[in-house]
Amino acid sequence: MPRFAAVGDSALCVEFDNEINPGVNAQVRALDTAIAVSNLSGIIETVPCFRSLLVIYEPEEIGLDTLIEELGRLIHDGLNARTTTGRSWTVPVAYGFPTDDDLLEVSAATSLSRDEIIAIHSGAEYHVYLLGFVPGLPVLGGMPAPLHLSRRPEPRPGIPAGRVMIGGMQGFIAPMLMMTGYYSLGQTPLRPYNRGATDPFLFRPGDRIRFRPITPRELDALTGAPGERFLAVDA
Amino acid sequence: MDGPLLRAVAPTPCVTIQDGGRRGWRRFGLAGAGAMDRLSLAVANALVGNRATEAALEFGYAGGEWTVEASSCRIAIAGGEFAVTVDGSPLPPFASAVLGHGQRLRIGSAAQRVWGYLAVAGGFDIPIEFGSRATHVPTGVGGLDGRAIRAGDALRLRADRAPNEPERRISAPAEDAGPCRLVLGPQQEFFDEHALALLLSGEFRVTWQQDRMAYRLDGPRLRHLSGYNIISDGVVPGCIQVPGTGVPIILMRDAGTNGGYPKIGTIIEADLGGLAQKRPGSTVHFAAVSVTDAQAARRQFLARLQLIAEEVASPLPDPLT
Repeated sequence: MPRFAAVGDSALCVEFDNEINPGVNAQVRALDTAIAVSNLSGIIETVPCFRSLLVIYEPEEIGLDTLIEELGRLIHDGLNARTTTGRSWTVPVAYGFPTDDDLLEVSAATSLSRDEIIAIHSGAEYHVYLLGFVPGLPVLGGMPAPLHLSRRPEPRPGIPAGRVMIGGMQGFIAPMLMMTGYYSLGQTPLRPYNRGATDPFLFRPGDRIRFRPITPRELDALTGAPGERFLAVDA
Repeated sequence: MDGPLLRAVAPTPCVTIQDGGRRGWRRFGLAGAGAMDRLSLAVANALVGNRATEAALEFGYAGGEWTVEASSCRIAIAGGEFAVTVDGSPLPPFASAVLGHGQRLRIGSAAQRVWGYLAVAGGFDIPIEFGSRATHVPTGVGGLDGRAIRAGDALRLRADRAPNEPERRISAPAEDAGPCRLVLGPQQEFFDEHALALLLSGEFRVTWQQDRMAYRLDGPRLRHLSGYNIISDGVVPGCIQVPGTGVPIILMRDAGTNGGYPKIGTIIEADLGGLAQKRPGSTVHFAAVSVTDAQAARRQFLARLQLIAEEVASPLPDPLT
């Protein structure tokens, strides 16, 4: 059983194992899905994270003890059967766009050449652990160890939407103009957040992402293309 | 000819449209935003006959200068005894008033409070985004194009004239005298008995590092047992994060949806608005309550927001005559 901890008067943190890996994250998503398809009343919203699910509830409709009991029942009934598999995306990246500045810094920090960085980064499959920090930002796990590097000592403002970033043991794609201590590897035509669209958020926790190198000319041609175009066709 | 407007002549820097906040979007990384002091928002709305969570202008410390570009508009200001004038004549606090076309509203500061609310009868004609009109400036969502109000901005009004109703007034809501109540956790095990005792017995002070995202407190340092890094998890407004410095940070309405510092406790909904109204230097004492007691306080608080309309008294002689 996971650990249950009250967060104030109307939220509950359901904590699975104390580590970051796709298996633990799958349990989080499975409980999230199980709650969504259950007829449990009084749930306001759920927030999936790396290894925990935050459940925000209306205490006038469901008491804390009942909530914990019901969630325990959902977990006991078996979450794995309900686990949803995420979608696969192939995200084009113009590496080094608009400048090589950050690539050179990453090169200095990792002792890898520019080409090696691109080959390693575009050779791995990433897992979307959660959306957070700013709306629609996919937090990507599965970064190959040679690309692990310390974040900048100070976050840097002015990172525009579509920048493909790495830092620590993770990566992300910037959904909007933002501030971050991560390093930019390049630019994608994809926008994780499209303000005003019917479905403004492109990614979901559990999605898998591969990056594909493109030229600045291709970046130009693909900019504005609908996000669905980059869904990979699963075998 | 434009429709009825409230024009920002010289707004203070942090004026935003706020309502009861949004729910359901935290899983996408979008914070709830909404009024820092929900009770005061409800009071301002009750004074002009709006529902408790209607969108109003929220300002910090003072509101600046505004003018009405409509045949008339009923307004009310709540949150504190802000020094308010219309064309230079003072308005009594916690009362509604009708402004005519071209009249100048000036909102100065209040002696002890931080957040004020300017409500208009009928509400602002602002589009709903993600289920709410609340502005979240850090991510550019809601309100007037997701940003703070600037000089020259025109806020469209739904009513082209003030409803033909008597003015309303209310006695200033009593300020919270007791300690700020919290539910311990969700990571109180990151702290020893000494830190927990300090949290509940120590005297903390609000500092100048206060905004819609977080309030940093000054006071005894809350030491961690060992590390202070947790795997980032979901947070809500009211969470008391303790970073490596041991200085508690209270997450407020605009805080992000997840965080990586241990949370020693979470301030209850009923007491968060009162804390938000404390100015730098004000003292804060905490008391731990059970989830059951926190929920009972929440029930009373939410009922009060709905019932505040019944506390308003009318009529009041027109303060402008």
